[in-house]
Amino acid sequence: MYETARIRTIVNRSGSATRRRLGSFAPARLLAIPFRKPAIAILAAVLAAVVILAVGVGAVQISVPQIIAIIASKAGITLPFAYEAQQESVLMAIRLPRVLLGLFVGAGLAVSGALLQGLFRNPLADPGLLGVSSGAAFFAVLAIVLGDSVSSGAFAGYSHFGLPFAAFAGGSLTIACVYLIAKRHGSLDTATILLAGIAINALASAGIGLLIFAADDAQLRTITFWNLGSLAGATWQSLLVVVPLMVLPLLFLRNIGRQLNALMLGDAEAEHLGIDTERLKRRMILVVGLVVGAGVSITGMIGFVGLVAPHLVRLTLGADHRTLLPASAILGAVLIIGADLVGRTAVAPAELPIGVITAAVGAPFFLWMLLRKR
Amino acid sequence: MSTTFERSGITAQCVGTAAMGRTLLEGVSLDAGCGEVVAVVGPNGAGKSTFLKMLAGERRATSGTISFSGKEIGKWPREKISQVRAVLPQNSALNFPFKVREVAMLGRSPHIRFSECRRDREIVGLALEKVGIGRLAERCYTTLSGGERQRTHLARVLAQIWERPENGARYLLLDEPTEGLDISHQHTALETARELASEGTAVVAVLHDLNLAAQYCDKILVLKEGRQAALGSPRKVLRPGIIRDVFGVEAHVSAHPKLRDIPLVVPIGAAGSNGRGRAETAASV
Repeated sequence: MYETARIRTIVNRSGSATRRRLGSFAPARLLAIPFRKPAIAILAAVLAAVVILAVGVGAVQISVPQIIAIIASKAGITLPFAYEAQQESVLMAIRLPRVLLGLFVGAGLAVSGALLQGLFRNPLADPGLLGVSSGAAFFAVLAIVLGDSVSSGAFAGYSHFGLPFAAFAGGSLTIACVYLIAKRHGSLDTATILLAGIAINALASAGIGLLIFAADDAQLRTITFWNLGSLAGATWQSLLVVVPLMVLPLLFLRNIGRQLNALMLGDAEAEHLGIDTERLKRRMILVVGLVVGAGVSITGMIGFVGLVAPHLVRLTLGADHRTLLPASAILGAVLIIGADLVGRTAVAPAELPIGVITAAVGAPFFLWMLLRKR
Repeated sequence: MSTTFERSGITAQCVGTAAMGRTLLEGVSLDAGCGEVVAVVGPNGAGKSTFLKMLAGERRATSGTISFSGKEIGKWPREKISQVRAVLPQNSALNFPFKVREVAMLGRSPHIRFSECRRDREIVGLALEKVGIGRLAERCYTTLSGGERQRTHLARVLAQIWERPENGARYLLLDEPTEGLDISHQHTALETARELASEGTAVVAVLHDLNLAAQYCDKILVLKEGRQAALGSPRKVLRPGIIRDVFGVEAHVSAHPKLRDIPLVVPIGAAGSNGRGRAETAASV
């Protein structure tokens, strides 16, 4: 923060009366925002390292120069690093989409977690609280169990997209329900949002239970694995569908950091500071709904990242959402890509579900945080 | 008082509000001019906080009108009014590890478009010094004591209306600003309010301590059961009869031994009891 302050004072050394007006257009200020703290730059460097590691390591090893050469060749540039055709196809068809999916899903889940922790003014909130993921899970399970009969009919050609589509529809439907219930008395009441989310969570679990009861063995296996999460479903086509759904809502969040900071004081206090809290909450709910729904639709349930990433950032960098949101996004991506890397190398050639790893690492960590607090 | 002065203050005309069919407040009128500090006093549940919430725009008036600088409260855009009106809440929900400086900086939000500038940081520094917690600036808010938290929020609202707007008045609404503060800081807090008033701010404060109200306020609005029981200068309002009727307390009111023109209220005990505490009543009161 002091760094950017220094840059700004250097840029705007002119009179103090004009500084504010000029300052808002100064390029240094625009550039400085994402790098509010050097910690974010460090996190970004860690992310880059994890991405390169995750892209290169696996059954087929690909070195860094080879990675660069393969990507460059796609842009029509030939670099003097030899690589095999198999390496190229593994990188382009499997690893790269998988790592990119991890990047977006991890960032999306962590940002959603941070937003909800802010919305509920509770550092223990997580994206699951709104019921989006369980709503998505219910529809996903519905698609798995009823899939055979449905896919022979109208959805015959779309069976590949059927499951993610159902999951996304379920997530969206859930968020719409929560929103309408919470909105019933005119204004969005945070406590009602929370309680509606919990109720819908329970309802979805009941539905899932019922469907599991009706499922056959093969379907049960699919359901179990979907519930544990995996990045293995990543293809360029799925990325093309999911990434815009996750990235576009985030554009709504411009300038949300300071507003969220003010919201931490309380709804009324934020209003007194000139913030339209109703609009802010509505935006946050819709963004979380879309981001989590889209993410979960391809990867299945991945727990704990949305809870742990923002929490960890808050412990180290403080509660300022202007730092918290970008830093959580990067850390979330690092955690998911890292967990996936462990999942597919630890017991190779088999793959551990990513949800197992995030929960196995996340839960003890969470307990440690709880115990440390007192 | 000139007409422009009146127009630039807070005006509440015969306001009332109800919730779930129950009248919370009825027929309350108040005129807090710029430069004035007005105390709102009354027993618990009299509607003091409700009245302040109506002035703060949190609760809508079902009858009557409230205006700031002659402009009705509903016609003020949210951003505009937040630049000139600050509200200190009774208690705050903040439980995230923000630094004290960051909390105070939130007060500058209405004035910041992208990122705070040096002036904002200066103001926050000054506001923290003003309430005597400059040394705590880098401390984590959640580790503070109740009184220190209250002062942090006081610094936040001071920072919000620190600078006099080019053309217009400022308004400060305080809901029990002295709550949880030691005697010295109670006085500092109200002296600060007085100081702001002298620069043209209209201040309305809910207070429990009648003597603080007498010492620092130009007017006192007394509420009882949602109605206006009295309104006027401390000398006019703080009379044994009114205090007995409104608070149910026998009190002795005399001239302040040290401060001129200020009444001193000495409560004796609940009305009806002989209210002597440990002591025998000295002579006749």
